[in-house]
Amino acid sequence: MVAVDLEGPYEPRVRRADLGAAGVTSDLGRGLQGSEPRMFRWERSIPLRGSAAALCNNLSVLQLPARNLTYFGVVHGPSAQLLSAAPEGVPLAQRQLHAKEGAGVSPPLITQVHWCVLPFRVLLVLTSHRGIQMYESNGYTMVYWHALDSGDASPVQAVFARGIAASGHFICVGTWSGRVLVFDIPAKGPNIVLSEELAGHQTPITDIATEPAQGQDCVADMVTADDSGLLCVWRSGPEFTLLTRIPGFGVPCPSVQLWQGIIAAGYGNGQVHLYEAATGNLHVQINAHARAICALDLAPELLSAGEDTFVHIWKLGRSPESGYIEVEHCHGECVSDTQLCGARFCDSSGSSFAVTGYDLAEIRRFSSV
Amino acid sequence: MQPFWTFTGVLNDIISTMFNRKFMEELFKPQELYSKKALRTVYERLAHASIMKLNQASMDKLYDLMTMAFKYQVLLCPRPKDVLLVTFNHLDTIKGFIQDSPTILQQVDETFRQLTEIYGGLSAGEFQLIRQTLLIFFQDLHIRVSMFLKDKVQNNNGRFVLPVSGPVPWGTEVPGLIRMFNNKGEEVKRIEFKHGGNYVPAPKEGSFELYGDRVLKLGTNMYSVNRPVETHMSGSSKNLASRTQESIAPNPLAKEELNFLARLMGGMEIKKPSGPEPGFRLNLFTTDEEEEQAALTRPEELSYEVINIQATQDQQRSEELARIMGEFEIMEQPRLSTSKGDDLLAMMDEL
Repeated sequence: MVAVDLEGPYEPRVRRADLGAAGVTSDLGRGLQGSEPRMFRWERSIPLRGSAAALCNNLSVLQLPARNLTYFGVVHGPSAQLLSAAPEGVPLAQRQLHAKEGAGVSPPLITQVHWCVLPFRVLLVLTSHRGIQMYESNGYTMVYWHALDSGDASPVQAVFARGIAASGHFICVGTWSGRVLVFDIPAKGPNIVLSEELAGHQTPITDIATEPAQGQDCVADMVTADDSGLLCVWRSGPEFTLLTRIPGFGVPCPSVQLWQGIIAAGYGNGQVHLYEAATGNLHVQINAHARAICALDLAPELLSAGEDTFVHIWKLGRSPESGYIEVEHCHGECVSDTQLCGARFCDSSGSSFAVTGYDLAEIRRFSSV
Repeated sequence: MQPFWTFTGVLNDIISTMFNRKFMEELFKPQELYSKKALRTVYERLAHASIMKLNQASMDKLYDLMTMAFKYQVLLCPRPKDVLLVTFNHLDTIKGFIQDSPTILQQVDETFRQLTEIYGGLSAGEFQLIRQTLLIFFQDLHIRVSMFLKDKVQNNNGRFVLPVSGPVPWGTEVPGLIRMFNNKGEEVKRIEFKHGGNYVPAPKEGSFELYGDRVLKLGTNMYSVNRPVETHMSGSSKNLASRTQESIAPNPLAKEELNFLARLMGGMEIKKPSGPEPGFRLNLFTTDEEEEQAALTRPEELSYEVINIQATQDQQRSEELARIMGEFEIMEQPRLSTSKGDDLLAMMDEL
């Protein structure tokens, strides 16, 4: 529901009572098959032991429908919090992980935490200013540690790993130098091997997106993004191949998603761009947020969250005549006075989503009515 | 009768200590984020760089104010690069205080030059990392400042108001437009949507030159209008666990931290008062009793820790730090009555 009066802080209780009126007021584009406006309501929040840090992509969600559970992962700073919740957001168990110590004046900061779903197992990956840690999905057993090599770094450069995605039986992790590390993951056990280092970027990686390969040749199934806004489009395999580069335009691209050959990229100037992965052509440009975008999710609708306190949901489609990518705005939500830092859909149909915000010690959940 | 201290004197002493070349050299070295304890220790020393002294409670209050004000400025920066503009606003205001002291003025200009040299060329991504790291330092601090509450920039729960109206940052478009393109890059359709805010375009970019219109108001003098100085302890915070963890857990890196502090504070040249000046004590509360009461009732979780130099194993380092720290012992109560915080600020405005 789009907030219409935004002078001063917005009390959540008022919003709830406010529901009932038609929320969505945006234009429905002709290209997309007519869809009803979606309305969302604020659900019970899940408390966090530590507030979320002002990072990007600072929420990971793992759905376990068979066990009626959802796992959430949020970075606090030097620690990351994992928690499990039942439907309706009832918190069950929670656990904290820390970055492995190293030399330095203060404990190392974690940059991201993310569950990687592989064909035969799920691993939890944690990246920090020291290296990469991989755990079994419940966060209890560390199965792999990779220390970052800061050899080339000048003293003024921060050294860290950031950007995590699963691609087939590989896990790809980005680094401060622009290199993307590709780890080969066995079906079980700790025998994880660094199989490749991808060169394509010159500035720190921000995010990596993947989708299952469609089975055809030359189909892009991975996109990497960096601080300069450059996007690299790859095809996975025993060796990864760089297919296309989509240049930046002077602002970072903190978050990227890939779905059915469509690349969705969120930028530091608040724009969302949609590109055709096969050609690298820009087809949609949305002036979506008034501050930097911090997170995107795609499932099959596009969710964008920004530091401007807003979350937006967009419907993607293709023009029946031209086949070009089209988009329409579905829904907007204002999380008052909260600089958002993470956002994810909580189910595969996109009927519920969750957000985290800087200094906010809870996960805010919304579901459609 | 001429007072034995002057405001100009106090300001000059503090500012010249802060902008001392050796100290600045240490600050500009690439390093990790300071711990809260380290910053508090350095700040306390700076605050005592003149004949003006503060008791624990007033020192705490001053530090609270500084921290929350700076958190506000960093949080509300429209673009990450604006953190630099905020710093330039600080420098511009400081230069206003020392216009009659060419030596100190030169020190500040030199700092300006160094800032431009080191930070002027950083990318948006690098500034974003700087801003995100600074925000980690301020995480979970929600001390209420009455000026912010009154101006409605802070809510009663201590969180800052993030407005959804006003100019967008320089380089950002006003949200609300979707443009669609064909394979040749030609626009084929455009639609508008309601984004929920009330934004207008940015008027112009702030200047990063030595002199110029910064455009941004963040970082300009909060006290340019005379106001009372009050902070409220925010009561029990829900995030106690995360905060106390930092101060209670034994720090295995304490030695590193002390080395760093010794270098930093060694660069500060504190002028020792020569002669019989007794100094004066600044009290940020309305009475001495109120100050004592504040010290006694400060919530445990919000007490600041200063580095405990006795805790170090390194004998030599410990002695060196003791020497440095000993250079500014809190003076005994002067016989003159202490000024009220409000009066002092009122007088500062007259400069």
